[in-house]
Amino acid sequence: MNQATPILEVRDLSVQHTVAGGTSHEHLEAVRQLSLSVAAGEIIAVVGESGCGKSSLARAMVGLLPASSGEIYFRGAAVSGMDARARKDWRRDTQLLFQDPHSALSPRRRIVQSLAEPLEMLGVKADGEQQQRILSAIAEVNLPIDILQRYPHQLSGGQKQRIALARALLCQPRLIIADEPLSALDVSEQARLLSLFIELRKEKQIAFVLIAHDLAVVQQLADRVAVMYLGRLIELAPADSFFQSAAHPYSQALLQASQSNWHNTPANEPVLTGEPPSALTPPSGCVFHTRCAQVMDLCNRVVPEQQVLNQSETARGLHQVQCHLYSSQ
Amino acid sequence: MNPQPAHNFPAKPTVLSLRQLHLTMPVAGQVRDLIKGIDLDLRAGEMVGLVGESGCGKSLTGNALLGLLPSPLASVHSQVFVLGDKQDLAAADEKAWRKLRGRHLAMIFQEPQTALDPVFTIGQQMVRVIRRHVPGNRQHALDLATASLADCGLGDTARILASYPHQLSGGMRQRAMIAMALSCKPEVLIADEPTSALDISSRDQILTLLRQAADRHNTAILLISHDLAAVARVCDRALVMYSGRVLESGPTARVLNQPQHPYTAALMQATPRISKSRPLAVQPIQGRVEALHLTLPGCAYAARCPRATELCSQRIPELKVSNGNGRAVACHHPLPGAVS
Amino acid sequence: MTASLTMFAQLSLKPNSQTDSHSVARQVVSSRSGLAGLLLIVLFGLLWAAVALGILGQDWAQASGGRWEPASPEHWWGTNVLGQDIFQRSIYSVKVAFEIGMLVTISSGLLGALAGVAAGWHKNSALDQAIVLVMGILDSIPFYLFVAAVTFALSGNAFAMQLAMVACFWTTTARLVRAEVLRLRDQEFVQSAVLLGLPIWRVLARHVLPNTTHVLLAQSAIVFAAAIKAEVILSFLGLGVQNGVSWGLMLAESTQEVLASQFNNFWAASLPLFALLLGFNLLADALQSALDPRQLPA
Repeated sequence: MNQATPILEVRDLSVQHTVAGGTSHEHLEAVRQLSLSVAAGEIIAVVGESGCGKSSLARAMVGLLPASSGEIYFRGAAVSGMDARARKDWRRDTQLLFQDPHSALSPRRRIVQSLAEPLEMLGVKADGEQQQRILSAIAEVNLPIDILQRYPHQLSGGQKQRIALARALLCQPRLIIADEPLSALDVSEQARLLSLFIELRKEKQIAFVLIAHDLAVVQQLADRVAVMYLGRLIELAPADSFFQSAAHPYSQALLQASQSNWHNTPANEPVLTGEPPSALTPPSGCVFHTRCAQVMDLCNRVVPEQQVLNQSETARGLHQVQCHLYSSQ
Repeated sequence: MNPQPAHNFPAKPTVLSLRQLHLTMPVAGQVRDLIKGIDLDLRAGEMVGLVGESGCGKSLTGNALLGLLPSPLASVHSQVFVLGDKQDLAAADEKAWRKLRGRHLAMIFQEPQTALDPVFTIGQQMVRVIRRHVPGNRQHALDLATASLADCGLGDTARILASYPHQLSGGMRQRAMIAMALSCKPEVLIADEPTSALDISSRDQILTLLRQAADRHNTAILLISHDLAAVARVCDRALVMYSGRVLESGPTARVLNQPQHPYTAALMQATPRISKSRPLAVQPIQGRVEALHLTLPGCAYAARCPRATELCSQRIPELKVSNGNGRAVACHHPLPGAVS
Repeated sequence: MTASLTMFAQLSLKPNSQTDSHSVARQVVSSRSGLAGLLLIVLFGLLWAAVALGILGQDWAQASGGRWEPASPEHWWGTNVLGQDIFQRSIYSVKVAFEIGMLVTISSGLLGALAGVAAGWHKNSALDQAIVLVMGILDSIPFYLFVAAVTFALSGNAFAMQLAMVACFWTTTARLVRAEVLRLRDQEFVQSAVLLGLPIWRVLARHVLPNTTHVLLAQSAIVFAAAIKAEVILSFLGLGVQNGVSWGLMLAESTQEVLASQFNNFWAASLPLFALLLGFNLLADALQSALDPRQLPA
């Protein structure tokens, strides 16, 4: 898996938003110099609090947001230098799944119309073949076929999310980028979609970039975990290694905050206090130093470099962290 | 339900008790039973979690407790005792409710953005609420508001008081909302999905805050949530609702870790939990939730239940005290409740 | 699988717009006010067709009787000061009103929708800013002053009034559509359509515009009524219909007549005007609730 070219790779990617502020326009760096690669059939989870830039990263990966610097490579080819045909391949093979199932489907179109649209774009125009493909996509997401003639408002949130997934599957993608696909759903719908993702990866070797904030969900799915804070990638680790020994103080705090006391008496102190600073004016040095429990002198002056924790490369890649605590290693 | 010494709430007074809550509403022209008889006791300083999937009637129950239902449409039959005074939910008029709300009963919602008025500052809104219920001048109300905000971990109180809701982040708005709800020191706080719209770190902070309110001010809190992890984290007791009925209740850790009702067990298996090693894979629950207004002759969960027998679809199981641990379960074929 | 395939064949894959429009029509007809509105509009539509085909109201200009004759089998609504048949004039005015209403509604609707979509989709672009600026300027000119100016500038042109109305009415439509497009543009189904690589015009035609129909429809009913009302007032002021007859001209005539207790002209112009506007409003309300996707039958 390591030798093969990654499906998608971002190198030193930055994404900027322009914020209209009074008379002047300010630039907000939603993603800053981030590098990440996704191998075939791999599930990478990108986690962080809201405003950390994870949704901007997802949108940049499919080309909905332009990169202000850096480059995106699809199957090893730079996206910026692509001709129309290669770009079309990238668009087809990389599908985006949105968070809000209620706005993911056009309210005035029947489900079958929403599903036929990607097929038309792929040039599948014959009725018979469209039928066949739509039927098998519907079966793949375990929905009954009478759902096809309904309108989105007649479906539950989980059903809509599964239709959105079916629509992505019709393009036969190699990579699905899912932006918080489970957070709007009930426990049982969540579980159903989770097992669907696992099945799809196993049977079709589809890779996933899963944008999430619920670490319990992440552990169910992910091969690797990427932690973002204020636009920076501060830790990247194989899932086992992450859940056993997360390195960055922020990752540790996130983990602790999402570990409920299933067995013990109630906890009394929040793990992370305060909120992330504004991304318009990010702190100097390490961006996390304003909330870090283990902050040192160095932290507000020097931006920490990427450190590789375990020298020997495991099957699932390196454990990398950006934190001064590990600089001496 | 004898209080057991094993739990930390032996002699606390009951501040709110609900007997046989029934709620009917017209659905497609017919009057239907949505909430089909719920008993609930809240003791001072106790946090009770009301859990279930969407559409099980948990939010309706919370709203009924505060009289927040469209009155000509919904009719509520229940006996409620607030601080020992009998309050007839069906008969209470808007004036009686207004006296109770804010002062004795308070509520916080999932989305504080919509619960706070966008054209007034947090300070103006808090002072108005406080002055309605607590005697004293404006300055006194402002002092109480400041104290309440500080209590809720909002350090920069002067700035928060002068802020409009949109100037605060989601987590801060929810804190301000809680500060407002707690400012009159109500005996009962009903929190309807207070953390569902928040990040993990904010969620953690809000849950801790609610727990502190219960511990320090002896507030009884009903936490309505579909998030089992949140309930497990802070609640003393948990009630599992399904289709307008309570299926299981008892101390949180026992109900969730050693469920007796198959539905509770299924919910737990569908909830992902973090562990240091590879976690157990989640198991989706089979089938779908039936519409709340359907009245079935038997157990509403029977169609989805792996343990269901013929009896289950014929007779509705009663909620019975099971084994003296403060637990009760409504099931014809309960699990032993000792499996972890 | 075969069983499900046959079932699927019955469901049909093609976008089934026929059933959709059927169910909308059924819903409109099933609401009492919608049915009443529809019947009123159909009645006026038939009158219009009859006038246009030369069956009714052709003798509106002829002085066929004496001055101010009362209603009689010959002159159903009496005659006016020149001895012209008031009923004929009122019927012929249906055509005038319909044509002004239609022309103004359709042109200002098209212009407004186009400008609104263009501005909303390209938010903050030079195009958007230009459109918003033009709308601001047009909206700041008093309506009747503007119409007077246009009428004078185009003196003699039969469409001066219609042109002035379109110039004034499209801005509201454009603003409403722009706001709706701004909201829709960030909706995830629109973004997924963009991501699929659909040409922009197709995204707009298929996913954006259909979701603004409720706005366009409500606005059309308002503009239609406003155009007819404006025509009445403008004709009354002498700025409207120049060579012909309209309810407005009839009302202008009637102002002198009511002083002489002659109400025929007044009633013959205002009653059909009222009925037509009522019909339009009832139908628009019914259509709007029928077109709301959340109200489509399950």
